[in-house]
Amino acid sequence: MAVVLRGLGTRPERIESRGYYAETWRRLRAQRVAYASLLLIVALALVAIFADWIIPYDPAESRFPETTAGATIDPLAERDTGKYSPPSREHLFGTDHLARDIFSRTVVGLRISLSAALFAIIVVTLIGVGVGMAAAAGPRFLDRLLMRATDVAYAFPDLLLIILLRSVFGDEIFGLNSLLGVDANVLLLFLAIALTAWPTMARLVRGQLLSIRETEYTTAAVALGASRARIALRHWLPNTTGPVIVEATFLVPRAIFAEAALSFIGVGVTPPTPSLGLLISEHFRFVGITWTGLFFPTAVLAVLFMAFSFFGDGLRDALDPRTRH
Amino acid sequence: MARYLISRAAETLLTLFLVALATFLLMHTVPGGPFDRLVVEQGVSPDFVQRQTAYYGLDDPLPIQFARYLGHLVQGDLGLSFQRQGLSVTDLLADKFKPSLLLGTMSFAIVFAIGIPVGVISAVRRNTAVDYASRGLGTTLAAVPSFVLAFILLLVFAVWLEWFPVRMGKGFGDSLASLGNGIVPALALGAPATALLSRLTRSAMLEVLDQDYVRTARSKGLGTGTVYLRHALRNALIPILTLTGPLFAGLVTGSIIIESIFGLPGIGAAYISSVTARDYGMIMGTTMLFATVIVVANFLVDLAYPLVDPRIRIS
Repeated sequence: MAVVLRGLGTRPERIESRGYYAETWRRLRAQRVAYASLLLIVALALVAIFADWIIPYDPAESRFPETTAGATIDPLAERDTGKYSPPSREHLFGTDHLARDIFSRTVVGLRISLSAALFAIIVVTLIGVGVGMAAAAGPRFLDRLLMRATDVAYAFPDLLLIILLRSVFGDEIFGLNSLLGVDANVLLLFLAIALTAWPTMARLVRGQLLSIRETEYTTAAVALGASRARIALRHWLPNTTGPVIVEATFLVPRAIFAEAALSFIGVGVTPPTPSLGLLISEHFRFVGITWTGLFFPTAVLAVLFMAFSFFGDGLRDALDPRTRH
Repeated sequence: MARYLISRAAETLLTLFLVALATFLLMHTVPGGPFDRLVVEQGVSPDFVQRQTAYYGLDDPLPIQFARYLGHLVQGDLGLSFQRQGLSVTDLLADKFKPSLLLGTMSFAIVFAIGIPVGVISAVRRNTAVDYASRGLGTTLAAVPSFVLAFILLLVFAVWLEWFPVRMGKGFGDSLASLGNGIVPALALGAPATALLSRLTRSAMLEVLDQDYVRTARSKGLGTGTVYLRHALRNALIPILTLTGPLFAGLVTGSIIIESIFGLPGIGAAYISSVTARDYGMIMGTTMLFATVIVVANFLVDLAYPLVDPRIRIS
């Protein structure tokens, strides 16, 4: 929006005013670490999306070296089995105990973990915003009921609930082994993770709305005769988006970590789906023989975690107009 | 005050009741019962399974089973284990929970012993090499999954330095001497919390150091130590107090993964195997125990809050 000011004896001057989101974007870009993290996240997301074109080999295929037919094999001689090979031009991250390409498996693992985490934050946001809004805007008994449910979900030990839900869900969604290109057992694991993570989001949204309800702009909107729906959509929703997005950003690394930990103790993703967590736990046993299989997936996990944490921190500052730089 | 206590206690009990109900329903949604695996594993007859099921009252309608469970629960009786027949859940839990509780408590102590001083030093020496180093280390510790960190610590302390046995969790909690072997697991368990606590302490200290009363304390000539510790830190710790409840509960109930790496005889492995074996008694018992720890820890923190901050009144 451009405003033209006219005054006596002065030349017309144009003052640029930017919208809320344009201003947020500008302030996010001003924070170097957060902006770099965003670029890194975009890059990793692109790798995940175009994984099929990036991976040099089928992640499930064992790449044993070819043997010439009829050649005599000396059983005592050292021979190349194709297993545990160190990083090379052919296998960037080396090969694992079944001679599979670790680079391809890591890229596919990144895709599985990222898309499943995206699925989890969508579930958490839907439940959390829905419950939080209904509690803050609805009648009093609904508020009490929903907050009691939130307390119960909060008091439920996370890991125990996930393990229980895992055994309730089984491995298939409506009898389908995979949905949207991700194995059903992975999605169900992340659904279980999401079902333990929504109380924080619900409390956040409810708390935000309760304080917004008391603000002067709400009173002004009511005084001007705005309908309930208009107030909720035009005034309340935009003012909760910031904290919700920030909370969702922090949820991504938490969900990916939870998956890794659960797969590690054997109650997570069912093999052979190469999620990052499963890759890490799989290679724990072979760490004395080869380090690449443990190192690279862990490094990707750590980079993901840091990128999302730094981006979330920066986004929180950028979204809050009170911390203008 | 008394009214507040009663209403909070009632809320807590209601929450625990609902957790019990949810667990009970979830548990019975999983197909298969506690005796079904005996048919495959030990070749017992289906007739035997039926008799066992009837003996334990598992063929009664679910509401009746739940009411019976609650009736025993209020008397402090958690029932019998189905997986390890003849043993009571209370005895099993006491046995399995002791190492987890000890480990969590040790970890809690370590988190505070490291996190608070590091945060204070980081704030006092802000934007110096010390500050950057501690924040960088904190971010790194928080970014590595705890089991990977545990594994690195295991390699360093047990394999290279040989200070501890590789299975350092073995027999943990049996004797006073075995507690020493829990230091490394406790460190690994508490690493993310330590990073978080030092970060929170740092920002709380920075906020307090800008306050007028700190300037006043300085200007009247008090020593640096007195200003930082008596005037600044004590006030900075108030917001951190709210964290202690969930933190303690999280450390005591969240050690499943660390236990499995260090071979600690804790409650984690017992819970996983009880879910697989459909050991209804153990599933209910463990969940109720953990939920109680979480709820009670939060309740105590709420009660402690007005004690440290007189501006807050319980109502």
